[in-house]
Amino acid sequence: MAFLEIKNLFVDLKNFKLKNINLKIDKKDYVTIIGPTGSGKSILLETIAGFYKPTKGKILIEQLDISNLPPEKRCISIVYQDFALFPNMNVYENIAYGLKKKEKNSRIIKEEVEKIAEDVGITNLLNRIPNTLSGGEKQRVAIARALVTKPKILLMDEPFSALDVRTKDSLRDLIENIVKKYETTVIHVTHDLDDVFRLANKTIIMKDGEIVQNGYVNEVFSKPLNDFVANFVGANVLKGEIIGKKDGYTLIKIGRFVIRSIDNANVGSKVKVYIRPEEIILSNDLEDSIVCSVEKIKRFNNILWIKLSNDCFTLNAIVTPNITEKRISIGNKIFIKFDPSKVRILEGNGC
Amino acid sequence: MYNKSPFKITLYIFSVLAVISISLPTLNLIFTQLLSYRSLCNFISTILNTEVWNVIALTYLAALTSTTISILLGIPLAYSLERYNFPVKKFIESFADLPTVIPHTVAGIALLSILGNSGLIGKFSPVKFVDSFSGIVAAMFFVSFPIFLNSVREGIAKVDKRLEDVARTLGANDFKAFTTITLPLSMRSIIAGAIVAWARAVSEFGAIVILAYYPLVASTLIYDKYLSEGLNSAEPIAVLLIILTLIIFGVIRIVFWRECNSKG
Repeated sequence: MAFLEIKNLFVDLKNFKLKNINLKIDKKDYVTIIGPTGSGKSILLETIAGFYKPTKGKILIEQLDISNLPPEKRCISIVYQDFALFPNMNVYENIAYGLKKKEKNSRIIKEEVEKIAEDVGITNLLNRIPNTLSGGEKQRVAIARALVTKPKILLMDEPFSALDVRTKDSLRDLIENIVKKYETTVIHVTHDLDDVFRLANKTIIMKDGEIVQNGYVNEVFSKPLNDFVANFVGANVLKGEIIGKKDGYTLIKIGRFVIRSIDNANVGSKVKVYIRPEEIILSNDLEDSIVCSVEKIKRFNNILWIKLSNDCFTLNAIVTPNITEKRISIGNKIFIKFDPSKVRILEGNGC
Repeated sequence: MYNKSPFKITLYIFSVLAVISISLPTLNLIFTQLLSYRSLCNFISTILNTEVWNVIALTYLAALTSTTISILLGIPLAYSLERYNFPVKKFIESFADLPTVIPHTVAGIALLSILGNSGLIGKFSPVKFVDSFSGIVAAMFFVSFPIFLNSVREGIAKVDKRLEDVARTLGANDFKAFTTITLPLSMRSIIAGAIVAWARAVSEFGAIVILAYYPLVASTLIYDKYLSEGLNSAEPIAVLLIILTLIIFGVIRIVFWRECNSKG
């Protein structure tokens, strides 16, 4: 039985529509919602929170229909990108705000506030007013305020977008630990794939107000259902033709090259092949390798992103610099291989 | 270092002209009144005249009543207009601004036609509006309400709606979210709007003279004195009203501004 279930949900906001949203989330799941700007991620989040009324469909938490309940009766908290701290209250009052409805005893409120403040590392900030805090501190306060009421679901709308890389990293650690400690179910809208890989066990991909694919992170990233998802999750999409089967592998002809996949497809069919950039193997031997020239190189913290091309296709690859790094410079020829288990085939979409 | 760019010099000249245009007539009136012996005697006798004080007290009381009604009706309307969309919103917005764009004598005639003894409301109302305190308040309210409404709307618009949304997810119902978040955060605009609306009510003449000439308020008393006894009789009352209003205005601003600033 799903903890949160959304059934045939439609929301009409005149200038934007959520269409036929169906979703099942289990208790303690950490779900990220990704998709291009304007795909409806935040609207979906705010509909779950109760800020928008569905025109059709149901939202159920533990089988209880909450579609028509006001936000204050849903037991769902939200954390926004720009923190949304109450500027007329200090940090203590911000965190205590949600407790005052449930608890009248000020001693218990104080204990609860101090406990969560300790958990998120803001004990020394309780008397400060929000506009004297840094971005990271503000977001810690917002997280504490959202969790102190022990919500059934914590919604987060791009909570780390306004923060620098280092703060973002420490907040990811905080979120990872604290949602485990509080056993909270989380739905987190993000543009940053690092959030997906670091925090989530499940992910949802949205486009034009619809869910395009959802499932476990590995599943979605390794088996995109269509071009849009593949492109969005950064996979390479190549067009090819199935030319036969050998040793349990399917042989795919892409231009003048033949690659292998463990996926099945009918011989003769035109297909699309998805390969994740990090699954591309730099090879030293010529056998079964494809020669490419290096067109672009970008260096991130401890990885290299390289754009490779030959006369048949262009690929993006992500590699960890090692001894092979010397060979990777713009204009150089390098050899690549694909692990057949990482080459995914989608039939019927080929050229 | 001070930069005497042509732009800054132009700004300076125009700003000085603006300040002179606004302050000169008032300052001239005050100083001519206080600096000549004869006028000063005249002014002192006005200060000692209880009838003048009664009129000024009545004016301030009527303005305060009108402002209180503006606060009671204006905050809910401002919030509704700012936060919700509904079919007649544009219509209401246009009508709410109407008193500021029509001559106030027209406002007085409009009020008289509805609150007068044979008017739609006046005919049935147990409260008499023509030549009464209620009429003065009605006229003051009519012309000062839009000022208050627009100021409050501006203040509410500046409060991020998501703060209310977050408050709702934390268990506050819509009323509590409004009273604990939006209302305190827009208090500065509410107070500013109330002060300006009160001052506008004190200064109202056009609508009052048509709906409720009597009992006399400050503006109608000054007009009455001017018509019946000339400028020398009207001037001391005008100066007294200016000085008192400036003092009240200043004190309110200082007290409330300090209060608002201390709350961040």
